[in-house]
Amino acid sequence: MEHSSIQSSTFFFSTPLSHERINWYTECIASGAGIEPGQKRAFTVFITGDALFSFVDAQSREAWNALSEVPSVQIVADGDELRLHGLGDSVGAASPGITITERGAGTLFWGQLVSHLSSEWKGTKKAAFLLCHPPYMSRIPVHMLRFLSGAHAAGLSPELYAYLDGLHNIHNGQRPSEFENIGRAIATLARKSGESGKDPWFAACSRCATARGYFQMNPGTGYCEPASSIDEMTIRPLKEILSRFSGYYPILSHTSGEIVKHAETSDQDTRPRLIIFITNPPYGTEWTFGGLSLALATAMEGIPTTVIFIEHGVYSLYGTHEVPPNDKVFNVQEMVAATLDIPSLCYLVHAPSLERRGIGVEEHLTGIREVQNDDLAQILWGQDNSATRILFF
Amino acid sequence: MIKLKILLNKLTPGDTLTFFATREQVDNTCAPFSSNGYQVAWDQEAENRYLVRIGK
Repeated sequence: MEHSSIQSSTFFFSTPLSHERINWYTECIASGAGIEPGQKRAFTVFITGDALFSFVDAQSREAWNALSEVPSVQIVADGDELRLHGLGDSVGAASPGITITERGAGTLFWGQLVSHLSSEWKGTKKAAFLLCHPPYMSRIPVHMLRFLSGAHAAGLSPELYAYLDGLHNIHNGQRPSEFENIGRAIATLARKSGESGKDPWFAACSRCATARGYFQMNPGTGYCEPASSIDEMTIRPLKEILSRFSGYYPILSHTSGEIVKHAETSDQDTRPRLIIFITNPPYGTEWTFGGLSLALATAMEGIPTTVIFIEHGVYSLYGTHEVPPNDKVFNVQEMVAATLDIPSLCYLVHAPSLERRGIGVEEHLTGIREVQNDDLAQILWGQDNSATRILFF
Repeated sequence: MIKLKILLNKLTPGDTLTFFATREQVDNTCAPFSSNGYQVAWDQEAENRYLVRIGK
Protein backbone atom coordinates (compact mmCIF):
# COMPACT_ATOMS: atom_id res chain seq x y z
CA MET A 1 0.00 0.00 0.00
CA GLU A 2 1.40 3.41 -0.98
CA HIS A 3 1.43 6.26 1.51
CA SER A 4 2.15 9.89 0.74
CA SER A 5 2.89 10.66 4.39
CA ILE A 6 6.02 10.39 6.51
CA GLN A 7 5.83 9.48 10.16
CA SER A 8 8.69 11.04 12.13
CA SER A 9 9.55 9.97 15.66
CA THR A 10 11.88 11.87 17.94
CA PHE A 11 13.04 10.60 21.33
CA PHE A 12 15.03 12.42 23.98
CA PHE A 13 16.90 10.69 26.80
CA SER A 14 18.83 12.51 29.53
CA THR A 15 18.49 10.25 32.58
CA PRO A 16 20.26 6.90 33.16
CA LEU A 17 19.16 4.24 30.66
CA SER A 18 18.80 0.76 32.14
CA HIS A 19 19.56 -2.34 30.07
CA GLU A 20 15.91 -3.23 30.40
CA ARG A 21 14.81 0.06 28.84
CA ILE A 22 17.32 -0.11 26.03
CA ASN A 23 16.22 -3.66 25.24
CA TRP A 24 12.50 -2.98 24.99
CA TYR A 25 13.01 0.41 23.37
CA THR A 26 15.34 -0.83 20.61
CA GLU A 27 13.08 -3.86 19.99
CA CYS A 28 10.09 -1.55 19.67
CA ILE A 29 11.88 0.76 17.21
CA ALA A 30 12.99 -2.23 15.15
CA SER A 31 9.38 -3.52 15.11
CA GLY A 32 8.08 -0.02 14.37
CA ALA A 33 10.41 0.35 11.41
CA GLY A 34 8.92 -2.81 9.95
CA ILE A 35 5.22 -1.99 10.35
CA GLU A 36 3.58 -1.44 6.93
CA PRO A 37 6.70 -1.36 4.74
CA GLY A 38 5.01 1.18 2.41
CA GLN A 39 4.76 3.76 5.20
CA LYS A 40 7.84 5.98 5.39
CA ARG A 41 9.16 6.31 8.92
CA ALA A 42 12.10 8.19 10.39
CA PHE A 43 13.40 7.78 13.94
CA THR A 44 15.74 10.29 15.56
CA VAL A 45 17.11 9.75 19.06
CA PHE A 46 18.77 12.63 20.95
CA ILE A 47 20.87 11.61 23.95
CA THR A 48 22.54 13.72 26.61
CA GLY A 49 23.41 13.69 30.32
CA ASP A 50 23.58 10.41 32.23
CA ALA A 51 21.93 8.54 29.35
CA LEU A 52 25.26 8.85 27.49
CA PHE A 53 26.84 6.15 29.65
CA SER A 54 24.70 3.60 27.82
CA PHE A 55 27.01 4.06 24.79
CA VAL A 56 29.98 2.59 26.69
CA ASP A 57 28.13 0.10 28.88
CA ALA A 58 29.03 -3.38 27.63
CA GLN A 59 25.46 -4.62 28.01
CA SER A 60 23.79 -1.79 26.12
CA ARG A 61 26.23 -0.42 23.52
CA GLU A 62 25.60 -3.32 21.13
CA ALA A 63 21.89 -2.51 21.12
CA TRP A 64 22.65 1.13 20.20
CA ASN A 65 25.12 0.08 17.51
CA ALA A 66 22.60 -2.35 16.03
CA LEU A 67 19.90 0.32 16.08
CA SER A 68 22.21 2.88 14.45
CA GLU A 69 22.56 0.52 11.47
CA VAL A 70 18.81 0.64 10.74
CA PRO A 71 18.58 3.02 7.74
CA SER A 72 15.63 5.00 9.09
CA VAL A 73 17.27 5.61 12.49
CA GLN A 74 19.58 8.49 13.40
CA ILE A 75 21.15 8.73 16.86
CA VAL A 76 22.55 12.09 17.96
CA ALA A 77 24.76 12.36 21.05
CA ASP A 78 25.53 15.60 22.88
CA GLY A 79 29.25 16.07 22.14
CA ASP A 80 29.82 18.63 24.88
CA GLU A 81 28.26 16.37 27.51
CA LEU A 82 30.17 13.34 26.14
CA ARG A 83 33.44 15.22 26.66
CA LEU A 84 32.32 16.42 30.09
CA HIS A 85 31.76 12.78 31.07
CA GLY A 86 35.08 11.67 29.55
CA LEU A 87 33.31 9.61 26.88
CA GLY A 88 34.10 11.56 23.72
CA ASP A 89 36.93 9.41 22.37
CA SER A 90 35.54 6.02 23.40
CA VAL A 91 32.06 6.59 21.95
CA GLY A 92 33.45 8.14 18.76
CA ALA A 93 35.70 5.10 18.19
CA ALA A 94 33.28 2.34 19.23
CA SER A 95 30.07 3.70 17.71
CA PRO A 96 30.73 5.04 14.21
CA GLY A 97 27.00 5.12 13.39
CA ILE A 98 26.25 7.66 16.10
CA THR A 99 26.34 11.37 15.26
CA ILE A 100 28.26 13.38 17.84
CA THR A 101 27.71 17.13 17.87
CA GLU A 102 30.82 19.34 17.66
CA ARG A 103 32.17 21.48 20.50
CA GLY A 104 29.58 24.19 20.96
CA ALA A 105 29.73 25.69 24.45
CA GLY A 106 26.71 23.62 25.41
CA THR A 107 24.47 24.94 22.65
CA LEU A 108 25.03 23.00 19.39
CA PHE A 109 23.22 19.83 20.48
CA TRP A 110 20.27 21.86 21.74
CA GLY A 111 20.14 24.02 18.63
CA GLN A 112 20.06 20.86 16.54
CA LEU A 113 17.30 19.38 18.71
CA VAL A 114 15.19 22.56 18.45
CA SER A 115 15.77 22.78 14.72
CA HIS A 116 14.80 19.12 14.29
CA LEU A 117 11.61 19.47 16.36
CA SER A 118 10.66 22.69 14.53
CA SER A 119 10.89 20.88 11.23
CA GLU A 120 8.80 17.98 12.58
CA TRP A 121 6.05 20.14 14.09
CA LYS A 122 5.66 22.23 10.94
CA GLY A 123 4.58 25.79 11.54
CA THR A 124 5.06 25.65 15.29
CA LYS A 125 5.65 28.97 17.01
CA LYS A 126 6.58 27.55 20.39
CA ALA A 127 8.38 24.79 22.24
CA ALA A 128 7.77 23.59 25.80
CA PHE A 129 9.48 21.66 28.58
CA LEU A 130 7.72 19.71 31.34
CA LEU A 131 10.13 20.03 34.28
CA CYS A 132 9.78 17.46 37.07
CA HIS A 133 13.28 17.61 38.63
CA PRO A 134 14.62 20.04 41.27
CA PRO A 135 17.60 22.34 40.67
CA TYR A 136 21.19 21.53 41.72
CA MET A 137 20.43 17.97 42.90
CA SER A 138 19.58 17.29 39.26
CA ARG A 139 21.10 18.60 36.00
CA ILE A 140 17.76 18.32 34.19
CA PRO A 141 16.89 22.01 34.88
CA VAL A 142 20.16 22.93 33.07
CA HIS A 143 19.01 20.83 30.10
CA MET A 144 15.62 22.55 30.27
CA LEU A 145 17.30 25.98 30.11
CA ARG A 146 19.49 24.98 27.17
CA PHE A 147 16.50 23.64 25.29
CA LEU A 148 14.25 26.64 25.94
CA SER A 149 17.13 29.08 25.29
CA GLY A 150 17.67 27.26 21.99
CA ALA A 151 13.96 27.63 21.24
CA HIS A 152 14.14 31.35 22.03
CA ALA A 153 17.23 31.75 19.80
CA ALA A 154 15.32 30.02 17.00
CA GLY A 155 12.51 32.58 17.26
CA LEU A 156 10.06 30.34 19.15
CA SER A 157 8.11 31.25 22.28
CA PRO A 158 9.37 29.13 25.19
CA GLU A 159 6.92 27.47 27.56
CA LEU A 160 7.84 25.90 30.91
CA TYR A 161 5.59 23.67 32.98
CA ALA A 162 6.92 22.94 36.49
CA TYR A 163 5.46 19.78 38.00
CA LEU A 164 6.28 17.54 41.00
CA ASP A 165 9.77 18.42 42.33
CA GLY A 166 10.25 20.70 39.34
CA LEU A 167 8.43 23.23 41.54
CA HIS A 168 11.61 23.91 43.51
CA ASN A 169 13.03 25.69 40.48
CA ILE A 170 10.61 28.55 41.12
CA HIS A 171 11.98 29.36 44.60
CA ASN A 172 13.14 32.97 44.77
CA GLY A 173 16.45 34.03 46.27
CA GLN A 174 18.44 31.08 44.86
CA ARG A 175 22.16 31.71 45.27
CA PRO A 176 24.25 28.69 44.30
CA SER A 177 27.98 29.20 44.83
CA GLU A 178 29.13 26.72 42.18
CA PHE A 179 26.26 26.16 39.77
CA GLU A 180 24.27 28.13 37.24
CA ASN A 181 21.48 30.03 39.05
CA ILE A 182 18.40 28.26 37.73
CA GLY A 183 15.81 30.62 39.24
CA ARG A 184 17.55 33.67 37.82
CA ALA A 185 18.03 32.01 34.42
CA ILE A 186 14.32 31.12 34.22
CA ALA A 187 13.37 34.71 35.09
CA THR A 188 15.84 36.13 32.56
CA LEU A 189 14.62 33.83 29.79
CA ALA A 190 10.98 34.72 30.46
CA ARG A 191 11.81 38.44 30.41
CA LYS A 192 13.99 38.28 27.30
CA SER A 193 11.40 36.31 25.43
CA GLY A 194 8.63 38.73 26.36
CA GLU A 195 10.75 41.77 25.46
CA SER A 196 11.50 40.31 22.04
CA GLY A 197 7.81 40.17 21.22
CA LYS A 198 7.32 36.47 21.88
CA ASP A 199 4.65 35.01 24.09
CA PRO A 200 6.39 33.03 26.86
CA TRP A 201 4.16 30.94 29.11
CA PHE A 202 5.83 29.82 32.35
CA ALA A 203 3.60 28.02 34.83
CA ALA A 204 3.80 25.79 37.89
CA CYS A 205 1.21 23.24 39.08
CA SER A 206 -0.82 24.63 42.00
CA ARG A 207 -1.21 21.25 43.76
CA CYS A 208 2.54 20.66 43.68
CA ALA A 209 3.18 24.29 44.68
CA THR A 210 0.80 24.07 47.64
CA ALA A 211 2.39 20.82 48.84
CA ARG A 212 5.85 22.43 48.76
CA GLY A 213 4.86 25.74 50.37
CA TYR A 214 4.99 27.97 47.30
CA PHE A 215 1.23 28.61 47.26
CA GLN A 216 -0.28 29.57 50.59
CA MET A 217 -3.75 30.50 51.81
CA ASN A 218 -4.21 34.14 52.74
CA PRO A 219 -6.67 33.96 55.68
CA GLY A 220 -7.72 37.58 55.00
CA THR A 221 -8.92 36.93 51.43
CA GLY A 222 -9.59 33.19 51.51
CA TYR A 223 -7.51 32.76 48.34
CA CYS A 224 -4.13 31.08 47.84
CA GLU A 225 -1.22 33.32 46.86
CA PRO A 226 2.32 32.65 45.64
CA ALA A 227 4.92 32.55 48.41
CA SER A 228 8.71 32.71 48.01
CA SER A 229 8.46 32.19 44.27
CA ILE A 230 9.91 34.08 41.32
CA ASP A 231 7.47 36.49 39.68
CA GLU A 232 8.01 35.13 36.18
CA MET A 233 6.37 31.77 37.03
CA THR A 234 2.59 31.75 37.42
CA ILE A 235 1.06 29.14 39.70
CA ARG A 236 -1.91 27.54 37.94
CA PRO A 237 -4.15 24.50 38.33
CA LEU A 238 -2.83 21.42 36.51
CA LYS A 239 -5.93 21.54 34.28
CA GLU A 240 -4.82 24.93 32.88
CA ILE A 241 -1.29 23.66 32.24
CA LEU A 242 -2.61 20.55 30.52
CA SER A 243 -4.91 22.62 28.32
CA ARG A 244 -1.63 23.59 26.57
CA PHE A 245 -1.25 19.92 25.60
CA SER A 246 -4.02 20.44 23.05
CA GLY A 247 -1.68 22.60 20.97
CA TYR A 248 0.39 21.44 18.01
CA TYR A 249 3.97 21.95 19.23
CA PRO A 250 6.73 19.92 20.88
CA ILE A 251 6.79 19.33 24.64
CA LEU A 252 10.07 17.90 25.87
CA SER A 253 10.71 16.35 29.27
CA HIS A 254 13.67 14.55 30.92
CA THR A 255 12.78 11.42 28.94
CA SER A 256 10.19 11.89 26.26
CA GLY A 257 9.14 11.27 22.69
CA GLU A 258 7.10 12.77 19.88
CA ILE A 259 5.59 11.12 16.83
CA VAL A 260 4.39 13.45 14.07
CA LYS A 261 2.82 12.46 10.80
CA HIS A 262 3.55 14.67 7.83
CA ALA A 263 1.06 14.55 5.02
CA GLU A 264 -0.19 17.09 2.54
CA THR A 265 -3.53 16.88 4.27
CA SER A 266 -2.26 16.52 7.85
CA ASP A 267 -4.66 17.97 10.37
CA GLN A 268 -2.84 20.21 12.82
CA ASP A 269 -6.11 20.98 14.56
CA THR A 270 -6.33 17.45 15.92
CA ARG A 271 -5.17 17.30 19.52
CA PRO A 272 -2.04 15.17 19.95
CA ARG A 273 -2.74 11.98 21.89
CA LEU A 274 -0.67 11.28 24.99
CA ILE A 275 1.16 8.10 25.98
CA ILE A 276 2.49 7.92 29.53
CA PHE A 277 4.97 5.27 30.65
CA ILE A 278 4.85 4.60 34.39
CA THR A 279 8.33 3.22 35.10
CA ASN A 280 8.79 3.64 38.86
CA PRO A 281 7.57 1.60 41.85
CA PRO A 282 4.28 2.91 43.25
CA TYR A 283 5.03 4.55 46.59
CA GLY A 284 8.73 5.34 47.07
CA THR A 285 8.53 8.57 45.06
CA GLU A 286 5.80 10.82 43.62
CA TRP A 287 6.46 9.64 40.05
CA THR A 288 3.60 7.14 39.83
CA PHE A 289 1.02 9.37 41.52
CA GLY A 290 2.18 12.31 39.40
CA GLY A 291 1.98 10.34 36.16
CA LEU A 292 -1.45 8.92 36.93
CA SER A 293 -2.80 12.32 38.04
CA LEU A 294 -1.56 13.92 34.84
CA ALA A 295 -3.06 11.10 32.76
CA LEU A 296 -6.43 11.42 34.48
CA ALA A 297 -6.48 15.19 34.00
CA THR A 298 -5.64 15.01 30.28
CA ALA A 299 -8.19 12.24 29.70
CA MET A 300 -10.87 14.25 31.51
CA GLU A 301 -10.07 17.06 29.05
CA GLY A 302 -10.88 14.65 26.22
CA ILE A 303 -7.26 14.11 25.12
CA PRO A 304 -6.85 10.41 24.20
CA THR A 305 -4.47 9.12 26.88
CA THR A 306 -2.79 5.73 27.23
CA VAL A 307 -0.98 4.72 30.42
CA ILE A 308 1.52 1.88 30.12
CA PHE A 309 2.93 0.28 33.28
CA ILE A 310 6.45 -0.82 32.39
CA GLU A 311 9.80 -1.67 34.07
CA HIS A 312 9.40 -1.18 37.87
CA GLY A 313 6.05 0.47 37.16
CA VAL A 314 4.45 -2.98 36.91
CA TYR A 315 4.69 -3.29 40.72
CA SER A 316 1.72 -0.91 40.86
CA LEU A 317 -0.44 -3.76 39.57
CA TYR A 318 1.07 -6.58 41.66
CA GLY A 319 -0.44 -7.88 44.93
CA THR A 320 -3.24 -6.19 46.84
CA HIS A 321 -2.24 -2.78 48.16
CA GLU A 322 -3.63 -1.81 51.58
CA VAL A 323 -2.95 1.69 52.90
CA PRO A 324 -2.47 1.54 56.69
CA PRO A 325 -4.80 3.74 58.76
CA ASN A 326 -3.17 7.16 59.40
CA ASP A 327 -0.90 6.79 56.35
CA LYS A 328 -1.87 9.61 54.02
CA VAL A 329 -0.97 8.11 50.67
CA PHE A 330 -3.15 7.28 47.68
CA ASN A 331 -3.75 3.61 46.98
CA VAL A 332 -2.44 3.42 43.40
CA GLN A 333 -4.56 0.36 42.62
CA GLU A 334 -7.65 2.20 43.85
CA MET A 335 -6.71 5.12 41.56
CA VAL A 336 -6.47 2.79 38.57
CA ALA A 337 -9.64 0.83 39.38
CA ALA A 338 -11.66 4.02 39.90
CA THR A 339 -10.66 5.44 36.52
CA LEU A 340 -11.08 2.39 34.28
CA ASP A 341 -14.41 3.77 33.01
CA ILE A 342 -13.09 7.09 31.68
CA PRO A 343 -13.63 6.97 27.90
CA SER A 344 -10.42 8.76 26.86
CA LEU A 345 -8.19 6.81 29.24
CA CYS A 346 -6.68 3.39 28.49
CA TYR A 347 -4.42 1.31 30.76
CA LEU A 348 -1.91 -1.29 29.50
CA VAL A 349 0.85 -3.31 31.14
CA HIS A 350 4.12 -4.42 29.54
CA ALA A 351 4.21 -8.23 29.62
CA PRO A 352 8.04 -8.56 29.32
CA SER A 353 8.43 -6.36 32.42
CA LEU A 354 6.09 -8.68 34.35
CA GLU A 355 7.89 -11.79 33.06
CA ARG A 356 11.33 -10.40 33.92
CA ARG A 357 10.17 -9.93 37.52
CA GLY A 358 8.23 -13.19 37.70
CA ILE A 359 5.02 -11.46 38.73
CA GLY A 360 1.49 -11.09 37.40
CA VAL A 361 -1.28 -8.52 37.57
CA GLU A 362 -3.52 -8.57 40.66
CA GLU A 363 -6.81 -10.36 40.04
CA HIS A 364 -9.12 -7.34 40.36
CA LEU A 365 -7.04 -5.47 37.76
CA THR A 366 -6.83 -8.22 35.16
CA GLY A 367 -8.96 -6.11 32.79
CA ILE A 368 -5.76 -4.24 32.02
CA ARG A 369 -4.41 -5.65 28.75
CA GLU A 370 -0.89 -7.07 28.63
CA VAL A 371 1.23 -5.96 25.66
CA GLN A 372 4.40 -7.35 24.12
CA ASN A 373 7.04 -5.18 22.41
CA ASP A 374 5.51 -5.65 18.96
CA ASP A 375 2.10 -4.64 20.38
CA LEU A 376 3.76 -1.57 21.82
CA ALA A 377 5.22 -0.75 18.41
CA GLN A 378 1.71 -1.06 16.91
CA ILE A 379 0.31 1.27 19.60
CA LEU A 380 3.05 3.83 18.95
CA TRP A 381 3.32 3.68 15.18
CA GLY A 382 0.52 1.55 13.77
CA GLN A 383 -2.30 3.99 14.45
CA ASP A 384 -3.52 6.86 12.36
CA ASN A 385 -2.77 9.79 14.66
CA SER A 386 -1.46 13.09 13.37
CA ALA A 387 0.66 13.58 16.49
CA THR A 388 1.57 11.72 19.68
CA ARG A 389 3.38 12.86 22.81
CA ILE A 390 5.22 10.36 25.00
CA LEU A 391 6.19 11.07 28.61
CA PHE A 392 8.03 8.91 31.14
CA PHE A 393 7.23 9.02 34.87
CA MET B 1 -9.66 15.12 40.99
CA ILE B 2 -8.68 11.52 41.69
CA LYS B 3 -10.07 11.72 45.24
CA LEU B 4 -13.37 12.92 43.83
CA LYS B 5 -13.43 10.17 41.18
CA ILE B 6 -12.87 7.48 43.83
CA LEU B 7 -15.71 8.91 45.95
CA LEU B 8 -18.01 9.08 42.91
CA ASN B 9 -17.31 5.45 42.08
CA LYS B 10 -18.60 4.50 45.54
CA LEU B 11 -21.91 6.33 45.01
CA THR B 12 -24.99 4.16 44.65
CA PRO B 13 -27.18 4.93 41.59
CA GLY B 14 -29.40 7.97 42.19
CA ASP B 15 -27.25 9.31 45.03
CA THR B 16 -25.46 12.65 44.88
CA LEU B 17 -22.18 13.75 46.36
CA THR B 18 -22.47 17.16 48.07
CA PHE B 19 -19.55 19.24 49.37
CA PHE B 20 -18.13 22.75 49.63
CA ALA B 21 -15.43 23.90 47.22
CA THR B 22 -13.55 27.04 46.20
CA ARG B 23 -14.09 28.66 42.80
CA GLU B 24 -10.82 27.20 41.57
CA GLN B 25 -11.85 23.71 42.68
CA VAL B 26 -15.23 24.09 40.98
CA ASP B 27 -13.67 25.17 37.68
CA ASN B 28 -10.73 22.81 37.59
CA THR B 29 -11.74 19.73 39.54
CA CYS B 30 -15.54 19.48 39.51
CA ALA B 31 -16.60 20.96 36.15
CA PRO B 32 -14.62 18.45 33.99
CA PHE B 33 -16.87 15.65 35.30
CA SER B 34 -19.83 17.17 33.46
CA SER B 35 -18.31 16.06 30.13
CA ASN B 36 -17.57 12.58 31.47
CA GLY B 37 -21.03 11.28 32.25
CA TYR B 38 -21.79 13.11 35.52
CA GLN B 39 -24.31 15.81 36.42
CA VAL B 40 -22.53 18.68 38.13
CA ALA B 41 -24.22 21.70 39.75
CA TRP B 42 -23.12 24.33 42.25
CA ASP B 43 -24.45 27.34 44.18
CA GLN B 44 -22.38 30.17 45.57
CA GLU B 45 -22.66 30.31 49.36
CA ALA B 46 -20.03 32.97 50.10
CA GLU B 47 -17.22 34.97 48.43
CA ASN B 48 -15.12 31.90 47.56
CA ARG B 49 -17.29 29.07 48.81
CA TYR B 50 -19.57 26.97 46.60
CA LEU B 51 -21.91 24.10 47.43
CA VAL B 52 -21.28 21.46 44.76
CA ARG B 53 -23.55 18.53 43.90
CA ILE B 54 -22.36 15.72 41.62
CA GLY B 55 -24.38 12.67 40.62
CA LYS B 56 -24.23 10.03 37.89
